[in-house]
Amino acid sequence: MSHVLARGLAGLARRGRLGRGFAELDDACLVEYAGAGRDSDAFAELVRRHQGKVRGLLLRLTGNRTLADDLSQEVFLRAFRGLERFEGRARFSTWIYRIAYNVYLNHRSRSKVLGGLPAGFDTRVAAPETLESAGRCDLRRDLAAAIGQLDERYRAVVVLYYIEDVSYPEIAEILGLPLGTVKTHLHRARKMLRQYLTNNGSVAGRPLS
Amino acid sequence: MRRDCTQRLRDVLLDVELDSGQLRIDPTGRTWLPAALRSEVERSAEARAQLARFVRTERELFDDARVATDPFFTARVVERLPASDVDHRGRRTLILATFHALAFGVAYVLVFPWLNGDASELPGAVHLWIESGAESGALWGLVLLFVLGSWLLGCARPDAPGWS
Repeated sequence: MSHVLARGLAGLARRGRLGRGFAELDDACLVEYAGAGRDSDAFAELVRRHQGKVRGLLLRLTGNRTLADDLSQEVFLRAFRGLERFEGRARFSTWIYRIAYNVYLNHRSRSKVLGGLPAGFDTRVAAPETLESAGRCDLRRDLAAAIGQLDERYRAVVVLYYIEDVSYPEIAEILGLPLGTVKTHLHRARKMLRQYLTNNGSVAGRPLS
Repeated sequence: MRRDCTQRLRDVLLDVELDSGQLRIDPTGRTWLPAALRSEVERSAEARAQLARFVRTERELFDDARVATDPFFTARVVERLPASDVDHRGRRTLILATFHALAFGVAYVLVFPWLNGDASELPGAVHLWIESGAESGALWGLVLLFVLGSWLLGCARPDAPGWS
């Protein structure tokens, strides 16, 4: 019933009667429009909502902004093609992170070079997008480098954990790992991060001035 | 004693699970550090510094987990969507309108013999009116009217693919 109402509202919004758009709808409704209706406007709203986290995830996994954006585009195109098969058992965000991780794995297997980290991983990741203090910028760079040096299985877990709205069971589902393994990986990853930051004299490892 | 405190704090911080909101609201750990450890941390400058570094790092990790939304990125994705899948509102409506018009035409052809054979005055009069319209060229106008009507019907149907 609420979907019918939402559909009606969206239709009116599109015709300019309410002056509002798909921004009012939740992901489930947008998926319905974009999936069955093949509505590009609804899908654009889904992209707008989730691109920041998907691009952030791939940026931390690849360490390359251009590559991360290219892979993110592939993620959303795959999602669009697969929307009609999306059953809604998981949240849309979980589903899209899983696609993102699969796209990353496919890319890595295609390109052996990415088996290790690309040269300049740490310096390319942390370019600030806003005016920030030098200290914060340094901290970002150090954290990106610390994440970059993690073994891939740990890196994926830690990156998903810090996306924040992803629960442990969702991380397990995205990565196809048992829940216990996710928790163990996360514990080890955080320990390694701290170790790296301390050993490398990072801003995060130094006393506050 | 001090070393014990920093070591225990380090162990606790490794396992503690906090979201960015909690870290922002309570960076000193009043609500999430174990009580015994909290009082020790308050006494130790080294432990306080360690806690502050932890909070700063965690917040940065959360903040940096997503990149800023880029409208050009969305535009690029939409541009690359398979053209055949994107909503063909106009084309679908046209197809719908054409088939509505065709249905009207077929209905007319089917009813035509019945109109001829029947003595009923009203349908016969309608038929004669259409026939005379065709002779005077107004039939095309009628067809156009059908198409227009069908197009409007196609647009007005809430379940039509292009409507949503």
